Amino acid sequence: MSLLSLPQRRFLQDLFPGSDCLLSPEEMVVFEADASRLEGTPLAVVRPETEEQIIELMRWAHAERMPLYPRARATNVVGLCVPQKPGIVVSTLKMDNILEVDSDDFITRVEPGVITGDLQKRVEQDKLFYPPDPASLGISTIGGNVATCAGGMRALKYGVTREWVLGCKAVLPGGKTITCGGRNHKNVVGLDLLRLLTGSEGTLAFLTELTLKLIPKPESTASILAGFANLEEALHAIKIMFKAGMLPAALEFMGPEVLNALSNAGAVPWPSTVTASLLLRFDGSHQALKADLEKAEAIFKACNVLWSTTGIGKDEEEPLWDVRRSINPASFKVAPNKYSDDVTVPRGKLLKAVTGIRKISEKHTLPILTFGHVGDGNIHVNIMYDASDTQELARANAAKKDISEFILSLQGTLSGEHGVGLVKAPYVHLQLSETERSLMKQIKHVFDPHCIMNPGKAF
Amino acid sequence: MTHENSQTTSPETEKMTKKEREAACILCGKCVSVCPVYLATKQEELAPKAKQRTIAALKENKQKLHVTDCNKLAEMCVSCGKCAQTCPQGLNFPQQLATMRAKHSGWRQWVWNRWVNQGSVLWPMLSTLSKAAPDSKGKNEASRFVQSIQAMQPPVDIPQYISVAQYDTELANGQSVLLFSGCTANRVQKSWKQKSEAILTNLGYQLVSAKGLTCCGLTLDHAGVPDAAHKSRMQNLRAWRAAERPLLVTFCATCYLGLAEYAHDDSLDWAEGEQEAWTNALRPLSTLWGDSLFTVDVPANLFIRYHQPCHWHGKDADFTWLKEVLYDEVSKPDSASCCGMGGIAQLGNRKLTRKVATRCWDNLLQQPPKKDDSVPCYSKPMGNCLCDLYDEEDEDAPELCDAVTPEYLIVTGCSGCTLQLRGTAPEHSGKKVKVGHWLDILAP
Repeated sequence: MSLLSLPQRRFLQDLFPGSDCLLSPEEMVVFEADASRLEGTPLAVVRPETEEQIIELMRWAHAERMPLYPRARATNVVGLCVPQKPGIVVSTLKMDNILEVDSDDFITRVEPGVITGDLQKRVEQDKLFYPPDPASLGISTIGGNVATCAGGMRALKYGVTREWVLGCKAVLPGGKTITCGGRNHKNVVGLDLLRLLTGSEGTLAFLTELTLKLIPKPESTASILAGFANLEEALHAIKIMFKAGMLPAALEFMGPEVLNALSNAGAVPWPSTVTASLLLRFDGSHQALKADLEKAEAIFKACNVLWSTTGIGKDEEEPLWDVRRSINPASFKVAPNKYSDDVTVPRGKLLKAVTGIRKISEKHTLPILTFGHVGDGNIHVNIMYDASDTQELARANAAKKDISEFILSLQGTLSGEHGVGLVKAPYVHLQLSETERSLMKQIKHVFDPHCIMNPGKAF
Repeated sequence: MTHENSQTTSPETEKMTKKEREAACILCGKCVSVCPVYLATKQEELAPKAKQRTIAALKENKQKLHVTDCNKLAEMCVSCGKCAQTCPQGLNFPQQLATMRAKHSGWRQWVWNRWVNQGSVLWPMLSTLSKAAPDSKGKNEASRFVQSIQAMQPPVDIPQYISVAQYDTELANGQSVLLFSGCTANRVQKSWKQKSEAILTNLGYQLVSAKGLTCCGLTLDHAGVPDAAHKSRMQNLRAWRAAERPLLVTFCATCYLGLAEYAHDDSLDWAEGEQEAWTNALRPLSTLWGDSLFTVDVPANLFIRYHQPCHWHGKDADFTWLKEVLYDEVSKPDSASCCGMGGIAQLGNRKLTRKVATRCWDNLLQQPPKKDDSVPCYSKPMGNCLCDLYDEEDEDAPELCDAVTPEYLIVTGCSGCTLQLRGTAPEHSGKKVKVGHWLDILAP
């Protein structure tokens, strides 16, 4: 581990006065890791409040060849914020202002540290809507959401974060600033640098401001939680529903292993004959929602639903969605460690994917939980294992590789929304060709010739 | 991929027991969003997950971290318990901190000195603490300070906006009640106790003498003086038994939480089935009104803002009741924010509790949605304020709404919150904002 020199420490302390520059190991403990629980070594932690500070930092780090690790709430599960190579962690949590909400232009301008859920609440005051809703929306930031192109449950109807980013300001290594896109809802001038930065996992530039698209807020929402005897029947019901011309805002499914984990962690509302569950949300006007619920219930009935419950409006719906939210904590009761994958397959291949993953689970004798955004083919795969058991760890690694290869054989992708980070980096070559990866490395070199931005991540 | 510094498990973690691993922090970050210390400082190193990680790091590798510095960080906690409520792993940092403090040699002397010299808002609990005072220090010193705070506290000038028109005596059905007033009401805010007694009597309850009761013990427990806390608990339990296990009623969120936790404390000498009986007997005062009727008279320019005590853990009976009685006359901020009272944190880190309070006040003094019958805005037959009809640039328009200056009154349902908010109240329109317990605005 290399330590910072005295002039380097002085520089940081001058640029980030007081408690905005941390140098002691005690204060930096939490910055070693993120929700992936991988660990690295921060040499310092700094908290900029202005773009000027970031420009100065990027100029200096570029000259010093000092790795920088942008970090907000560090809720990602793939090690994106981990300072794997000793370097400086840059926390955006003090840049958390909502700069503007414009209900005529249907845009909002925000700093990267704004919590996504807070932004949604703010724009809803003006009857506006920012749809992306990663499960972590109450605890994760817009900056992190854009850097990872976060998805969420509403992606089925509204798409992922990428679809909602209209513009950004960013600082390049060396200190130059760029403005990509802006307030226009259509814009085709030049190469789309904005799309390049969105989902780049902090490997190209430092995002300092984001302009996001808004739409009018739907009047209300309604939800159904339904239980089926098996996976096939549940997925068949979805097929019929799409054929009937319905497009829910969100459509989640929970497989047998998940339902088991949930019932072991606490009481569940459905009967024990249920082994697969669907959770749907519609949005729209009150009249339309009533009609949607009736239609959906009729379809489910025709598809042998065993149990279902509905709710209209937030208060009634929350208990239904609490079930979905309790999966993550319940999973840790199955085994202490997990590989959390979020593979995605073309929507038509979902049943094939889930059935195949169950076979892999049997082959390696490890519990694998499958749940997720069934509507858009995004499956959350939790391989549960005990890391203290070296054999089990080896089996988990083997299962992970098997799943990756299997998903790619279905023309799927290794990650729908979590990103690559450190965790999936060893598998990227399975999906991207040598030529494609080399092109990406060259692009990175153009932005960041000394490789100081979040090195070792993504591709 | 190179793995120079990254690793999921170290040999040390492998040695952890299964139970320890299951209870470990998974760094999910949920606690960050609710921690008042983090929200007031935006310093991730002060969030509960950072503290959990520090504890784990100390266990694994003591050489790496300086213990004193770790303790300093750990003490940046106001013991609100919100992290424990949200943690999917069931970790409770305030409790862990209390255990750490109790083990620390010299801690008792430190607490005593600080409590006596600096703990102004904690003085009501001082006489209980005096029983556990180190050596020579004791009762006399305590009572001197209790007297001084009584003298310091000015009578509260808050009009009684709610009066009881009719008591519903059906619910009571002549049951016996033990009123647990808590340290603050017993020593400083005696009117709360008197009003509560009047309410309970009027509701048809038989009041049992509360002489045997003492501090609920929660603050002492968080302060790392577990033996004093235990003594208090035992004394209260005995008093309840002596009164033949009547309903146990409190009007303070912290006392309620403190008493509710007894049922989980196996070091108390519970008889068979007694824990359940205790839990069933414990009631917040505001849940006993039944179908009582009230008359309300609130000036049009007054915003009554409710401060939600953290210690209700989101299940706040007081606000539900206030809302039923006051309708749109009372409102609360969108998200509850801690006042920073923080018990023991008042002794170690006043600056931090002030910082947390500032954020709380920012939320409390936000203008709530317009009241239904906002008088200064004239009539609004179409459901719109007349002011909305004016063009924004029209200079005359704002005057319509600004003719009467809005005033704020903060009410809450916790003794600690009341004292902390009174102590930190800012000025609004040239006057210090008034703060009271909801009992203060009620004429029984």
